[in-house]
Amino acid sequence: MGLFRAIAMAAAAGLVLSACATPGSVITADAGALRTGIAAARQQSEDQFAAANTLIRQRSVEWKVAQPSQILRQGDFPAAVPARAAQQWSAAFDVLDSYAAALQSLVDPKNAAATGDAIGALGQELNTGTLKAGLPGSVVAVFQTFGEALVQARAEKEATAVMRRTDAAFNQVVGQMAIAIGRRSHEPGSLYDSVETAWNASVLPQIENQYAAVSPDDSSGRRQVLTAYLQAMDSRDAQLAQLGQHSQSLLALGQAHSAAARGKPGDAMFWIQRVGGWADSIRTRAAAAGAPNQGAKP
Amino acid sequence: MSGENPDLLATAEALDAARTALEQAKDSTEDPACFTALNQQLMALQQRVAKVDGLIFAQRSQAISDAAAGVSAAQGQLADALQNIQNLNQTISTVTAFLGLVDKVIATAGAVGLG
Repeated sequence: MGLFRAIAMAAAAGLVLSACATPGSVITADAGALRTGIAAARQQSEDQFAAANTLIRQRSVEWKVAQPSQILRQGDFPAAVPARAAQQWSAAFDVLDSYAAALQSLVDPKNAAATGDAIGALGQELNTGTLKAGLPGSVVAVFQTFGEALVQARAEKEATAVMRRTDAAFNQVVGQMAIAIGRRSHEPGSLYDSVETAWNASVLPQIENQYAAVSPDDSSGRRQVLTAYLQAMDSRDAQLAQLGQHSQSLLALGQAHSAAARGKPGDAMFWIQRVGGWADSIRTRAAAAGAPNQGAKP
Repeated sequence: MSGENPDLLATAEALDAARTALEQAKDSTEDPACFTALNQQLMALQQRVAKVDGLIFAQRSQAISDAAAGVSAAQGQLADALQNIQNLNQTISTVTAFLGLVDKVIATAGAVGLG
């Protein structure tokens, strides 16, 4: 009995140490949050690409109609986001999603729970089989939880190590995406620049010229043009704000990855919850295992 | 940014500067004819901006595609780590099954009087 008590105490001590040695449930939650963020960024990109392409195409049509040339070419209709570029973005998001999914799978507590269950089944076999080991239920519960903790800790350590190694590449991808989108005026070459120029150098000037063509006596006509002008300004502001937010969210995704890779070691509440969580798990398992094996004494 | 054509970017910057100059010219005129003519110039300039920006966006997308390969490499490492956990679970389950099998052999031996 003394031997088992010593083993149980050593296992419990090791359990607490292993729980303190890794980022734990933070990375499990962060891997899930990261994947959700990637899905949201992908959706934002698709929405913004479609809106930008529609705007640029409409401007090209207006421009073409106003030209005297009778020759029509595909090159008259440039795309803000060419089809191949959209495919490359989609493929890049596929990679980011697969990576986050692999992280999520690795730190999924179900894997560690499966180890705990396997150890529990082994303890049961040792007790009920020919060996009749007579392991107390509480000891089996401690080993179950200990094994589960070790496997989870190992998985989280591996995941954190991979995230640290991948952090630069991850941030390079989302950082380049953020630059390609752009988030303020006068960033030539960005999607923001394409959209802003389409509004400020095409949509609004066209309406301004319509206004110039309306007689000053035609109040109703002027009012109609002014309404269209103000609506266009509002639409421009909304679209540019969405692009700016999209660029920011891509950068935030990179920061979230970096934070998860760091594991936030200074968060005291995290450690308390972590240790408390494993302690609760031991108590629950001991209570569950105690009933059938209560009388089994070595 | 890697893979970006500096000539295209310089062209985009020149177009941006031209747009700023045209907008400043609009702000300083009260002549409707001049104003509408400047707007025509702006609309012509927008078409060039759309073409150049589209080319730059395509180049940057290629660079993003290249950079994603760096993230892709991590997936193999994560899959290996997961496989190690699954192997451990398999090993423990195999031991349990083996012990059960041994018990059956012992029980059978006992039943035929060999125990």
